[in-house]
Amino acid sequence: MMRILKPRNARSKRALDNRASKVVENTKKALTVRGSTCSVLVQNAMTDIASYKQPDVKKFQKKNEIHPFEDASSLEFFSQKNDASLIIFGSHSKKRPNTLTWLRTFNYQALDMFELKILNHKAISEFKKLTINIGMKPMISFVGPIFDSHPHFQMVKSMFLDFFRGEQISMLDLAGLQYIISVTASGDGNISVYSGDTSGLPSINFRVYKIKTYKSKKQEKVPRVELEEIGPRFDFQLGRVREADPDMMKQAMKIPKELQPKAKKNVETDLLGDKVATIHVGKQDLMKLQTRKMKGLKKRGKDEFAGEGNGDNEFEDVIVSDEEQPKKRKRHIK
Amino acid sequence: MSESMKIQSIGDRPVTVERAIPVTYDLGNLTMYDTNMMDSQIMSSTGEEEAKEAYLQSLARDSAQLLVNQILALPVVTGGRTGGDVNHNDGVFVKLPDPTTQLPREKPVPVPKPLTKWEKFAKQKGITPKARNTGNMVYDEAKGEWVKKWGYKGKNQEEPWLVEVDEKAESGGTAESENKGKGKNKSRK
Repeated sequence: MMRILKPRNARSKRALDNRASKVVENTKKALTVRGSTCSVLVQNAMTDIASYKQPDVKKFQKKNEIHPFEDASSLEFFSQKNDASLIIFGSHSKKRPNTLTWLRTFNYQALDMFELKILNHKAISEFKKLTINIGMKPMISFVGPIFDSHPHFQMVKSMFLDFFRGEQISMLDLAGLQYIISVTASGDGNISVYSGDTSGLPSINFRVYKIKTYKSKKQEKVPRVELEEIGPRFDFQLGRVREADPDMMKQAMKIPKELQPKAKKNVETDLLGDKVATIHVGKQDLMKLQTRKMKGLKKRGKDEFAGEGNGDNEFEDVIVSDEEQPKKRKRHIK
Repeated sequence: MSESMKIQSIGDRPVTVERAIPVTYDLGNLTMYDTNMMDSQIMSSTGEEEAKEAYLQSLARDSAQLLVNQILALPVVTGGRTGGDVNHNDGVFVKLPDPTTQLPREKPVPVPKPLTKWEKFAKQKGITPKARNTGNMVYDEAKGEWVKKWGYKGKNQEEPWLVEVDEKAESGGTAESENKGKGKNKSRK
Protein backbone atom coordinates (compact mmCIF):
# COMPACT_ATOMS: atom_id res chain seq x y z
CA MET A 1 0.00 0.00 0.00
CA MET A 2 2.74 2.44 0.93
CA ARG A 3 5.23 3.04 -1.85
CA ILE A 4 8.83 2.37 -0.91
CA LEU A 5 10.61 5.69 -0.56
CA LYS A 6 14.14 6.02 -1.86
CA PRO A 7 16.04 8.79 -0.08
CA ARG A 8 17.14 11.47 -2.52
CA ASN A 9 19.34 13.41 -0.12
CA ALA A 10 21.04 13.04 3.24
CA ARG A 11 18.19 14.67 5.15
CA SER A 12 15.52 12.33 3.86
CA LYS A 13 17.87 9.39 4.40
CA ARG A 14 18.26 10.40 8.05
CA ALA A 15 14.49 10.69 8.41
CA LEU A 16 14.02 7.25 6.89
CA ASP A 17 16.72 5.72 9.11
CA ASN A 18 15.01 7.23 12.14
CA ARG A 19 11.86 5.31 11.25
CA ALA A 20 13.64 2.03 10.56
CA SER A 21 13.93 -0.82 13.05
CA LYS A 22 16.52 -0.08 15.69
CA VAL A 23 18.10 -1.96 18.57
CA VAL A 24 17.07 0.75 21.02
CA GLU A 25 13.77 2.16 19.81
CA ASN A 26 12.46 5.70 19.73
CA THR A 27 9.83 6.85 22.21
CA LYS A 28 6.46 5.62 20.96
CA LYS A 29 4.40 8.29 19.27
CA ALA A 30 0.65 8.52 19.64
CA LEU A 31 -2.23 9.69 17.47
CA THR A 32 -5.65 10.87 18.55
CA VAL A 33 -8.20 10.10 15.88
CA ARG A 34 -11.84 11.20 15.89
CA GLY A 35 -14.57 8.88 14.78
CA SER A 36 -17.48 10.08 12.70
CA THR A 37 -19.64 10.08 15.81
CA CYS A 38 -17.09 11.58 18.18
CA SER A 39 -18.75 13.89 20.67
CA VAL A 40 -17.29 17.05 22.22
CA LEU A 41 -16.85 15.27 25.54
CA VAL A 42 -14.71 12.60 23.92
CA GLN A 43 -12.73 15.19 21.99
CA ASN A 44 -11.95 17.08 25.19
CA ALA A 45 -11.02 13.84 26.91
CA MET A 46 -8.56 12.98 24.14
CA THR A 47 -7.06 16.46 24.28
CA ASP A 48 -6.51 16.13 28.03
CA ILE A 49 -4.85 12.74 27.67
CA ALA A 50 -2.71 14.01 24.81
CA SER A 51 -1.42 16.87 26.94
CA TYR A 52 0.56 14.34 29.01
CA LYS A 53 1.98 12.74 25.92
CA GLN A 54 3.38 15.94 24.42
CA PRO A 55 5.49 16.30 22.28
CA ASP A 56 5.14 12.71 21.07
CA VAL A 57 1.50 13.03 20.09
CA LYS A 58 -0.34 14.15 16.97
CA LYS A 59 -3.97 15.18 17.12
CA PHE A 60 -6.10 14.62 14.07
CA GLN A 61 -8.80 17.20 13.50
CA LYS A 62 -11.05 15.57 10.90
CA LYS A 63 -13.63 12.92 11.61
CA ASN A 64 -13.13 9.49 10.14
CA GLU A 65 -15.60 6.72 9.45
CA ILE A 66 -13.75 3.88 11.19
CA HIS A 67 -14.88 0.89 13.24
CA PRO A 68 -11.67 -0.40 14.85
CA PHE A 69 -13.03 -3.72 16.08
CA GLU A 70 -14.32 -4.58 12.63
CA ASP A 71 -11.57 -3.24 10.45
CA ALA A 72 -8.46 -1.57 11.82
CA SER A 73 -6.68 -1.21 8.46
CA SER A 74 -7.40 2.50 8.26
CA LEU A 75 -5.79 3.05 11.64
CA GLU A 76 -2.84 0.89 10.59
CA PHE A 77 -2.36 3.16 7.60
CA PHE A 78 -2.34 6.24 9.85
CA SER A 79 0.18 4.51 12.08
CA GLN A 80 2.49 3.86 9.16
CA LYS A 81 2.17 7.30 7.62
CA ASN A 82 2.87 9.10 10.89
CA ASP A 83 5.26 6.56 12.43
CA ALA A 84 3.01 6.30 15.45
CA SER A 85 2.51 3.01 17.25
CA LEU A 86 -0.14 4.14 19.75
CA ILE A 87 -3.58 5.29 18.64
CA ILE A 88 -6.56 6.55 20.60
CA PHE A 89 -9.78 6.53 18.66
CA GLY A 90 -12.77 8.39 20.05
CA SER A 91 -16.37 7.57 19.25
CA HIS A 92 -19.88 7.81 20.62
CA SER A 93 -22.97 5.75 19.97
CA LYS A 94 -26.14 4.85 21.81
CA LYS A 95 -24.87 1.37 22.52
CA ARG A 96 -21.33 2.48 23.40
CA PRO A 97 -21.47 6.04 24.64
CA ASN A 98 -18.30 8.15 24.96
CA THR A 99 -15.82 5.43 24.11
CA LEU A 100 -12.08 5.60 23.64
CA THR A 101 -10.47 2.75 21.75
CA TRP A 102 -6.76 2.32 22.60
CA LEU A 103 -4.76 0.54 19.93
CA ARG A 104 -1.13 -0.51 19.80
CA THR A 105 0.67 -1.48 16.62
CA PHE A 106 3.60 -3.70 15.91
CA ASN A 107 5.33 -3.20 12.59
CA TYR A 108 2.41 -0.94 11.64
CA GLN A 109 -0.08 -3.75 12.15
CA ALA A 110 -2.67 -3.87 14.92
CA LEU A 111 -1.23 -5.68 17.93
CA ASP A 112 -3.87 -5.33 20.63
CA MET A 113 -6.71 -2.98 21.47
CA PHE A 114 -9.38 -2.33 24.04
CA GLU A 115 -12.31 0.01 24.61
CA LEU A 116 -12.68 2.28 27.58
CA LYS A 117 -16.01 3.95 28.18
CA ILE A 118 -15.76 7.28 29.91
CA LEU A 119 -18.06 7.20 32.93
CA ASN A 120 -17.11 10.64 34.09
CA HIS A 121 -14.54 13.17 33.10
CA LYS A 122 -13.28 16.27 34.82
CA ALA A 123 -11.08 18.29 32.49
CA ILE A 124 -7.72 19.87 33.30
CA SER A 125 -9.28 23.28 32.86
CA GLU A 126 -11.64 22.59 35.78
CA PHE A 127 -8.76 22.17 38.22
CA LYS A 128 -6.51 24.77 39.70
CA LYS A 129 -3.96 25.68 37.08
CA LEU A 130 -0.60 24.18 38.01
CA THR A 131 1.84 24.00 35.15
CA ILE A 132 3.83 20.91 34.38
CA ASN A 133 6.69 21.27 31.92
CA ILE A 134 6.14 19.43 28.67
CA GLY A 135 8.08 16.24 28.28
CA MET A 136 8.55 15.55 31.99
CA LYS A 137 8.64 11.90 32.93
CA PRO A 138 5.68 11.01 35.15
CA MET A 139 5.67 8.67 38.10
CA ILE A 140 3.04 6.01 37.52
CA SER A 141 1.33 3.80 40.04
CA PHE A 142 -1.08 0.93 39.53
CA VAL A 143 -3.07 0.03 42.62
CA GLY A 144 -5.34 -2.96 42.82
CA PRO A 145 -4.82 -6.71 42.70
CA ILE A 146 -6.84 -7.02 39.50
CA PHE A 147 -4.00 -5.50 37.52
CA ASP A 148 -1.98 -8.60 38.27
CA SER A 149 -4.66 -11.25 38.04
CA HIS A 150 -6.98 -10.36 35.16
CA PRO A 151 -5.39 -10.58 31.66
CA HIS A 152 -7.50 -7.73 30.25
CA PHE A 153 -6.46 -5.45 33.07
CA GLN A 154 -2.86 -6.50 32.52
CA MET A 155 -3.28 -5.30 28.95
CA VAL A 156 -4.66 -1.98 30.18
CA LYS A 157 -1.70 -1.66 32.55
CA SER A 158 0.76 -2.42 29.75
CA MET A 159 -0.90 0.03 27.37
CA PHE A 160 -1.02 2.85 29.92
CA LEU A 161 2.60 2.30 30.83
CA ASP A 162 3.59 2.33 27.16
CA PHE A 163 1.61 5.48 26.59
CA PHE A 164 2.59 7.63 29.53
CA ARG A 165 6.11 6.60 30.40
CA GLY A 166 7.81 8.96 27.97
CA GLU A 167 11.44 8.99 26.99
CA GLN A 168 13.84 6.35 28.25
CA ILE A 169 16.46 8.05 30.41
CA SER A 170 19.26 6.73 32.57
CA MET A 171 19.97 9.89 34.56
CA LEU A 172 17.05 11.55 36.27
CA ASP A 173 17.12 15.11 37.50
CA LEU A 174 15.36 15.12 40.87
CA ALA A 175 13.71 18.40 39.96
CA GLY A 176 11.99 16.50 37.16
CA LEU A 177 9.82 14.48 39.55
CA GLN A 178 6.77 16.66 39.11
CA TYR A 179 3.65 14.59 38.81
CA ILE A 180 2.17 11.17 39.36
CA ILE A 181 -0.45 9.31 37.36
CA SER A 182 -2.40 7.03 39.64
CA VAL A 183 -4.43 4.22 38.05
CA THR A 184 -6.56 2.24 40.46
CA ALA A 185 -9.18 -0.46 40.23
CA SER A 186 -10.88 -1.91 43.25
CA GLY A 187 -12.22 -5.43 43.42
CA ASP A 188 -10.37 -8.69 43.31
CA GLY A 189 -11.07 -9.56 39.70
CA ASN A 190 -12.40 -13.04 40.39
CA ILE A 191 -14.51 -12.73 37.31
CA SER A 192 -14.02 -15.10 34.46
CA VAL A 193 -12.50 -13.64 31.33
CA TYR A 194 -14.73 -15.76 29.19
CA SER A 195 -18.04 -14.83 30.73
CA GLY A 196 -18.15 -11.85 28.40
CA ASP A 197 -19.94 -9.90 31.06
CA THR A 198 -17.94 -6.74 31.26
CA SER A 199 -20.42 -4.95 33.48
CA GLY A 200 -19.21 -6.90 36.49
CA LEU A 201 -15.67 -5.66 36.10
CA PRO A 202 -14.52 -2.81 38.31
CA SER A 203 -14.08 0.64 36.88
CA ILE A 204 -10.63 2.06 36.36
CA ASN A 205 -9.91 5.32 38.12
CA PHE A 206 -7.42 7.57 36.44
CA ARG A 207 -6.07 10.48 38.46
CA VAL A 208 -3.17 12.85 37.97
CA TYR A 209 -1.56 14.77 40.81
CA LYS A 210 1.24 17.27 41.09
CA ILE A 211 3.91 16.49 43.66
CA LYS A 212 5.01 18.85 46.39
CA THR A 213 7.77 17.91 48.78
CA TYR A 214 8.16 19.19 52.29
CA LYS A 215 11.18 18.89 54.51
CA SER A 216 10.56 16.19 57.06
CA LYS A 217 11.50 16.76 60.69
CA LYS A 218 11.70 13.08 61.38
CA GLN A 219 14.10 12.19 58.61
CA GLU A 220 16.49 14.58 56.96
CA LYS A 221 17.12 12.62 53.77
CA VAL A 222 13.57 11.78 52.74
CA PRO A 223 10.94 14.49 52.22
CA ARG A 224 7.25 14.30 52.98
CA VAL A 225 5.31 14.07 49.73
CA GLU A 226 2.01 15.88 49.33
CA LEU A 227 -0.23 15.90 46.29
CA GLU A 228 -2.51 18.29 44.54
CA GLU A 229 -4.84 17.15 41.82
CA ILE A 230 -4.25 18.73 38.44
CA GLY A 231 -6.48 16.52 36.34
CA PRO A 232 -7.79 15.14 34.16
CA ARG A 233 -9.99 12.94 36.26
CA PHE A 234 -11.39 9.86 34.54
CA ASP A 235 -13.43 6.86 35.51
CA PHE A 236 -13.25 4.25 32.78
CA GLN A 237 -15.27 1.14 32.20
CA LEU A 238 -13.50 -1.57 30.26
CA GLY A 239 -15.44 -2.61 27.15
CA ARG A 240 -14.50 -4.90 24.29
CA VAL A 241 -10.99 -6.27 24.18
CA ARG A 242 -9.05 -7.67 21.28
CA GLU A 243 -6.00 -9.51 22.49
CA ALA A 244 -2.81 -9.76 20.49
CA ASP A 245 -2.09 -12.65 18.20
CA PRO A 246 0.33 -14.80 20.27
CA ASP A 247 2.89 -15.12 17.44
CA MET A 248 2.92 -11.40 16.84
CA MET A 249 3.24 -10.75 20.56
CA LYS A 250 6.15 -13.15 20.74
CA GLN A 251 7.87 -11.22 17.94
CA ALA A 252 7.15 -7.96 19.67
CA MET A 253 8.56 -9.14 22.98
CA LYS A 254 11.87 -10.27 21.47
CA ILE A 255 14.92 -8.60 22.98
CA PRO A 256 17.78 -7.97 20.51
CA LYS A 257 21.07 -9.72 21.23
CA GLU A 258 22.83 -6.44 21.91
CA LEU A 259 20.56 -5.70 24.86
CA GLN A 260 20.56 -9.14 26.43
CA PRO A 261 22.61 -9.21 29.63
CA LYS A 262 26.04 -10.69 28.97
CA ALA A 263 27.14 -13.54 31.23
CA LYS A 264 30.65 -12.96 32.57
CA LYS A 265 32.81 -15.93 31.75
CA ASN A 266 35.71 -17.23 33.80
CA VAL A 267 34.75 -15.29 36.95
CA GLU A 268 33.27 -17.13 39.92
CA THR A 269 32.77 -16.56 43.61
CA ASP A 270 34.21 -19.34 45.76
CA LEU A 271 32.79 -20.66 49.05
CA LEU A 272 34.56 -18.01 51.12
CA GLY A 273 32.99 -15.26 49.11
CA ASP A 274 36.18 -14.33 47.28
CA LYS A 275 35.99 -13.44 43.64
CA VAL A 276 38.08 -15.92 41.71
CA ALA A 277 38.91 -15.59 38.04
CA THR A 278 40.60 -17.84 35.55
CA ILE A 279 43.23 -16.31 33.32
CA HIS A 280 44.10 -18.33 30.29
CA VAL A 281 47.83 -18.09 29.68
CA GLY A 282 49.27 -19.53 26.51
CA LYS A 283 51.34 -22.65 26.60
CA GLN A 284 55.09 -22.08 26.72
CA ASP A 285 57.39 -24.07 24.52
CA LEU A 286 60.19 -24.70 26.98
CA MET A 287 62.52 -25.61 24.13
CA LYS A 288 62.27 -22.11 22.72
CA LEU A 289 62.66 -20.33 26.05
CA GLN A 290 65.30 -17.56 26.02
CA THR A 291 67.48 -18.55 28.93
CA ARG A 292 70.59 -16.65 27.91
CA LYS A 293 69.09 -13.31 28.88
CA MET A 294 68.01 -14.40 32.35
CA LYS A 295 70.47 -13.19 34.98
CA GLY A 296 69.04 -15.39 37.67
CA LEU A 297 70.00 -18.55 35.86
CA LYS A 298 73.71 -17.72 35.72
CA LYS A 299 76.05 -19.90 37.70
CA ARG A 300 77.25 -17.99 40.70
CA GLY A 301 79.89 -18.48 43.33
CA LYS A 302 79.31 -20.23 46.70
CA ASP A 303 78.79 -16.97 48.64
CA GLU A 304 75.90 -15.97 46.43
CA PHE A 305 73.71 -18.96 47.26
CA ALA A 306 71.44 -16.80 49.39
CA GLY A 307 69.93 -15.20 46.36
CA GLU A 308 69.23 -18.48 44.60
CA GLY A 309 65.61 -18.61 45.62
CA ASN A 310 64.90 -15.53 43.51
CA GLY A 311 65.66 -17.37 40.33
CA ASP A 312 62.26 -19.09 40.39
CA ASN A 313 60.35 -15.86 40.36
CA GLU A 314 61.69 -14.87 36.99
CA PHE A 315 59.70 -17.61 35.31
CA GLU A 316 56.44 -16.06 36.41
CA ASP A 317 57.26 -12.68 34.96
CA VAL A 318 58.12 -14.02 31.55
CA ILE A 319 56.02 -12.65 28.74
CA VAL A 320 54.82 -15.56 26.67
CA SER A 321 55.17 -15.03 22.95
CA ASP A 322 54.00 -18.47 21.75
CA GLU A 323 50.46 -19.48 22.39
CA GLU A 324 49.97 -22.98 21.07
CA GLN A 325 47.62 -24.34 23.69
CA PRO A 326 46.23 -22.39 26.59
CA LYS A 327 47.49 -23.27 30.04
CA LYS A 328 45.38 -22.31 33.04
CA ARG A 329 46.63 -20.50 36.12
CA LYS A 330 44.37 -19.43 38.99
CA ARG A 331 44.87 -16.02 40.47
CA HIS A 332 42.90 -14.49 43.35
CA ILE A 333 41.40 -11.15 42.51
CA LYS A 334 40.48 -8.81 45.35
CA MET B 1 1.15 32.76 59.83
CA SER B 2 -1.28 29.90 59.30
CA GLU B 3 0.58 28.87 56.14
CA SER B 4 3.87 28.45 57.99
CA MET B 5 2.09 26.59 60.77
CA LYS B 6 0.57 24.30 58.16
CA ILE B 7 4.01 23.66 56.70
CA GLN B 8 5.34 22.95 60.16
CA SER B 9 2.66 20.36 60.75
CA ILE B 10 3.29 18.75 57.38
CA GLY B 11 6.89 18.27 58.43
CA ASP B 12 5.70 16.18 61.36
CA ARG B 13 3.84 13.71 59.16
CA PRO B 14 5.42 10.33 58.57
CA VAL B 15 7.57 9.66 55.52
CA THR B 16 7.23 5.89 55.63
CA VAL B 17 4.30 3.89 54.29
CA GLU B 18 3.09 0.56 55.58
CA ARG B 19 1.65 -1.96 53.18
CA ALA B 20 0.41 -5.47 53.88
CA ILE B 21 1.71 -6.94 50.64
CA PRO B 22 5.06 -5.47 49.66
CA VAL B 23 4.94 -3.25 46.62
CA THR B 24 6.98 -3.90 43.45
CA TYR B 25 8.85 -1.16 41.62
CA ASP B 26 10.08 -0.54 38.14
CA LEU B 27 12.32 2.44 38.74
CA GLY B 28 13.51 2.57 35.15
CA ASN B 29 9.96 3.57 34.28
CA LEU B 30 9.29 5.38 37.60
CA THR B 31 6.46 2.96 38.19
CA MET B 32 5.15 1.00 41.12
CA TYR B 33 2.65 -1.85 41.32
CA ASP B 34 0.56 -2.23 44.43
CA THR B 35 -1.52 -5.37 44.68
CA ASN B 36 -3.06 -4.61 48.06
CA MET B 37 -6.83 -4.69 48.27
CA MET B 38 -8.54 -1.37 48.18
CA ASP B 39 -11.31 -0.34 50.55
CA SER B 40 -14.31 -1.62 48.64
CA GLN B 41 -16.76 0.14 50.91
CA ILE B 42 -15.52 3.61 50.06
CA MET B 43 -15.08 2.72 46.41
CA SER B 44 -18.53 1.25 45.85
CA SER B 45 -20.48 3.90 47.72
CA THR B 46 -22.43 6.10 45.37
CA GLY B 47 -22.94 9.75 46.22
CA GLU B 48 -19.91 9.90 48.50
CA GLU B 49 -17.74 11.56 45.87
CA GLU B 50 -15.58 13.60 48.19
CA ALA B 51 -14.75 10.70 50.46
CA LYS B 52 -13.89 8.56 47.45
CA GLU B 53 -11.64 11.23 45.98
CA ALA B 54 -9.95 11.81 49.30
CA TYR B 55 -9.30 8.08 49.61
CA LEU B 56 -7.90 7.87 46.07
CA GLN B 57 -5.70 10.86 46.78
CA SER B 58 -4.38 9.29 49.96
CA LEU B 59 -3.59 6.08 48.04
CA ALA B 60 -1.79 8.07 45.38
CA ARG B 61 0.10 10.06 48.01
CA ASP B 62 1.31 6.84 49.61
CA SER B 63 2.36 5.50 46.19
CA ALA B 64 4.23 8.72 45.44
CA GLN B 65 5.93 8.64 48.85
CA LEU B 66 7.07 5.05 48.31
CA LEU B 67 8.38 5.87 44.85
CA VAL B 68 10.23 8.98 46.04
CA ASN B 69 11.80 6.99 48.88
CA GLN B 70 13.02 4.38 46.42
CA ILE B 71 14.32 6.95 43.94
CA LEU B 72 16.24 8.83 46.61
CA ALA B 73 17.91 5.57 47.59
CA LEU B 74 19.47 5.31 44.13
CA PRO B 75 23.10 6.31 43.61
CA VAL B 76 23.51 10.03 43.11
CA VAL B 77 25.65 11.27 40.26
CA THR B 78 27.29 14.65 40.72
CA GLY B 79 28.35 16.84 37.88
CA GLY B 80 25.31 16.70 35.72
CA ARG B 81 23.56 14.35 33.41
CA THR B 82 26.58 13.12 31.49
CA GLY B 83 28.72 12.92 34.62
CA GLY B 84 31.20 15.71 34.12
CA ASP B 85 29.77 17.48 31.14
CA VAL B 86 30.31 21.20 31.46
CA ASN B 87 26.94 22.06 29.98
CA HIS B 88 24.78 20.05 32.39
CA ASN B 89 26.38 20.78 35.70
CA ASP B 90 23.42 21.99 37.66
CA GLY B 91 20.83 19.80 39.28
CA VAL B 92 21.08 16.70 41.37
CA PHE B 93 21.04 13.60 39.19
CA VAL B 94 20.19 10.07 40.10
CA LYS B 95 21.21 7.03 38.06
CA LEU B 96 18.08 5.08 37.13
CA PRO B 97 18.30 1.34 36.62
CA ASP B 98 17.10 -0.33 33.44
CA PRO B 99 13.34 -0.78 33.23
CA THR B 100 12.17 -4.20 34.37
CA THR B 101 8.69 -4.31 32.85
CA GLN B 102 8.83 -5.76 29.39
CA LEU B 103 6.71 -3.87 26.93
CA PRO B 104 6.17 -4.85 23.30
CA ARG B 105 8.41 -3.21 20.73
CA GLU B 106 6.91 -1.06 18.03
CA LYS B 107 9.04 -2.52 15.24
CA PRO B 108 10.70 -5.92 14.81
CA VAL B 109 14.29 -6.51 15.91
CA PRO B 110 16.60 -5.22 13.16
CA VAL B 111 18.02 -7.89 10.89
CA PRO B 112 21.75 -7.43 10.18
CA LYS B 113 22.11 -6.24 6.61
CA PRO B 114 23.90 -8.59 4.21
CA LEU B 115 27.55 -7.62 3.67
CA THR B 116 28.35 -5.87 0.41
CA LYS B 117 30.81 -7.36 -2.06
CA TRP B 118 33.58 -5.07 -0.86
CA GLU B 119 32.86 -5.74 2.82
CA LYS B 120 33.05 -9.48 2.20
CA PHE B 121 36.35 -9.11 0.39
CA ALA B 122 37.82 -6.80 3.03
CA LYS B 123 36.81 -9.18 5.79
CA GLN B 124 38.36 -12.13 4.03
CA LYS B 125 41.59 -10.28 3.28
CA GLY B 126 41.71 -8.69 6.70
CA ILE B 127 41.61 -5.12 5.35
CA THR B 128 40.69 -2.63 8.08
CA PRO B 129 39.80 1.02 7.46
CA LYS B 130 42.69 3.45 7.79
CA ALA B 131 43.07 4.99 11.24
CA ARG B 132 41.59 8.45 10.93
CA ASN B 133 43.44 11.45 12.20
CA THR B 134 42.00 12.27 15.63
CA GLY B 135 42.75 15.96 15.33
CA ASN B 136 44.93 18.19 17.43
CA MET B 137 43.12 18.12 20.76
CA VAL B 138 43.93 15.71 23.57
CA TYR B 139 42.39 15.50 27.06
CA ASP B 140 44.83 16.40 29.80
CA GLU B 141 43.83 14.49 32.94
CA ALA B 142 45.95 16.64 35.25
CA LYS B 143 44.44 19.91 34.05
CA GLY B 144 41.00 18.49 33.41
CA GLU B 145 40.64 20.19 30.06
CA TRP B 146 41.40 19.73 26.41
CA VAL B 147 44.81 20.97 25.20
CA LYS B 148 46.53 20.98 21.83
CA LYS B 149 48.94 18.21 21.03
CA TRP B 150 51.15 20.43 18.90
CA GLY B 151 51.22 24.05 17.75
CA TYR B 152 50.99 27.26 19.76
CA LYS B 153 50.85 26.36 23.46
CA GLY B 154 50.87 22.72 22.49
CA LYS B 155 51.45 19.90 24.93
CA ASN B 156 54.65 18.77 23.24
CA GLN B 157 56.25 22.15 23.93
CA GLU B 158 55.61 22.29 27.65
CA GLU B 159 58.57 22.57 29.98
CA PRO B 160 59.35 19.44 31.97
CA TRP B 161 57.72 19.66 35.40
CA LEU B 162 60.68 18.01 37.09
CA VAL B 163 64.19 19.15 36.31
CA GLU B 164 67.24 17.65 37.97
CA VAL B 165 69.58 20.01 39.75
CA ASP B 166 72.46 20.92 37.49
CA GLU B 167 75.33 21.68 39.83
CA LYS B 168 77.28 23.73 37.34
CA ALA B 169 74.38 26.07 36.73
CA GLU B 170 73.59 26.38 40.44
CA SER B 171 77.09 27.46 41.41
CA GLY B 172 76.74 30.44 39.08
CA GLY B 173 78.33 29.37 35.85
CA THR B 174 78.60 31.57 32.81
CA ALA B 175 75.56 31.94 30.62
CA GLU B 176 75.51 30.38 27.22
CA SER B 177 75.12 33.73 25.51
CA GLU B 178 78.34 35.03 26.99
CA ASN B 179 80.29 32.16 25.55
CA LYS B 180 78.81 32.46 22.09
CA GLY B 181 81.16 33.40 19.37
CA LYS B 182 84.15 33.18 21.63
CA GLY B 183 85.45 29.80 20.70
CA LYS B 184 87.52 28.00 23.24
CA ASN B 185 90.70 29.88 23.95
CA LYS B 186 91.68 29.85 20.36
CA SER B 187 95.05 31.28 19.79
CA ARG B 188 95.38 33.26 16.64
CA LYS B 189 98.38 32.40 14.73
